Amino acid sequence: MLDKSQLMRGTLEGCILKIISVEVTYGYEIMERLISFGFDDIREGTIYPLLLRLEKKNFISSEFRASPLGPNRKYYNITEEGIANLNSFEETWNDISKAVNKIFRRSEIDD
Amino acid sequence: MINLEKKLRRENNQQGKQLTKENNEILTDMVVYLHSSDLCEYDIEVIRKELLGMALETQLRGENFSNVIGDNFKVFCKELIKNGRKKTPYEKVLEFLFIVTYGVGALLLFQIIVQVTYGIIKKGINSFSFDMPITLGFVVMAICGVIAGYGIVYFVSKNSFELSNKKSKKYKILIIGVVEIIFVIMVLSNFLLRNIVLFSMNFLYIIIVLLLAFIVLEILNARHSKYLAQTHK
Repeated sequence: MLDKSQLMRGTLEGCILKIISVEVTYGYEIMERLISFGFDDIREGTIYPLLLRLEKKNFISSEFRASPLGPNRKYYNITEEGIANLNSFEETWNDISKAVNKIFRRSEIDD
Repeated sequence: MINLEKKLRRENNQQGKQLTKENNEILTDMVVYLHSSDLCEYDIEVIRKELLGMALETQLRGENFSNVIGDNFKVFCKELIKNGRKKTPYEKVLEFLFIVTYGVGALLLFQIIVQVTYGIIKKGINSFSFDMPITLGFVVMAICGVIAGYGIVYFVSKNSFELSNKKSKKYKILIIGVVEIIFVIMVLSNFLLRNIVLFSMNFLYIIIVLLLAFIVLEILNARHSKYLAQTHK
């Protein structure tokens, strides 16, 4: 059985960066966006360690803001380094997905 | 100077009162476990603040906290430890100095009180002296006390999930046993080696040095937490 989490690791970081690059947002909203794009198994707890990691690498910055629903929320913003990393991720992802798609299409033709 | 880490801890303690009993237990175990790691102390409070926020929002939505972070809280904590900011060498030195100063300081004060009380009872108030002999017994007791104190705190935090499990008595019995053995070793070494005097000092000087050490450490800690807070608005 394929370990989906292995495949998603790394990919998710790029996707989170992309979502944050569009607008300043918080953990729960990022999770909802990811689910709406088809990442069904995502929980807030899945992305929180990744947000910590991105912040540690200085790809995103954060600040607490008041929330209409109870406690303050941490909002994330992409940094210059984060934008550079996102561009690099997009480029690499395009190359990899092109190559993988080619292999799978070729296999289908061969079959 | 306000220590921002302590301020944040107080705020978190206050906010934690809104948690349900179940969520409070989960979060306490998690935070205690995080303290066994190499994560920056200030960041642990920031993480706690965020987890508190997540838990309170799930309460408001009528969901379980485990729906958000998963059922295996220890694995989740390990993920946080892997991805969070680690202590710098400066923070490690500061922490070491804190443990040593507070540990040795507490034992020295205890020793002064015991010695003064013992002297007055045995020889009367007129024989009162500020002179305090530092014996080999005290040095052994202090070293054992500091190492054991640190070790026990580390063990408790590393096994926070197992210790809070009501069915698991093994760890609790182990801790009580170890604490008792260490206490006996400390008392015995202090008593048996009491005649080997390494040097003597006026205990007022010891108190002054300890007070200065506490003040300097508190200032350094407050200054550092302010610096860390600038990276977490």
